[in-house]
Amino acid sequence: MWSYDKSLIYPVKIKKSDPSLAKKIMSQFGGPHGEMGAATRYLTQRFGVPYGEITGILTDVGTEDANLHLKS
Amino acid sequence: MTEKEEMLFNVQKYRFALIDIAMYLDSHKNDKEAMETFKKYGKDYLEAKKAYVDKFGPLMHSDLIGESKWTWTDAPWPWEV
Repeated sequence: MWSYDKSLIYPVKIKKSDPSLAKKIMSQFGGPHGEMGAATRYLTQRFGVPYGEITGILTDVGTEDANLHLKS
Repeated sequence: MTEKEEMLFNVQKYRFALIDIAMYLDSHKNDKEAMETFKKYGKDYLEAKKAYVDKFGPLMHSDLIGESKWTWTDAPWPWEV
């Protein structure tokens, strides 16, 4: 269900530390309205969908939410 | 850009293309042109990944299947680069 690639989807170079911004990004990552929740919702909703095509889309979009937005 | 960054960027580039085309194909499964594009970038991805892994170490666990030493936990992690 979950596998990890040791690389980012897009290159990012952190040049200086910014704890205040880091805190906001962490919340966007796993907080109450974060990407982790969105990914989990897609991946949960796909179980109740009667169309294979939509199941596939929700699986892949949920995966990419975890990949693109959560990748770290 | 260092050689390492450039080779990793190639992997990232082709992987991103694959992901994007895959999501398009989910709702356009009979699009032959998209399928061909998927295959083309798929080959490019595998080549770029092999080149990077041979030189700089694993990007995923399965890259270590042929190895004798577990280097997965060696630095750097993606956020440390």
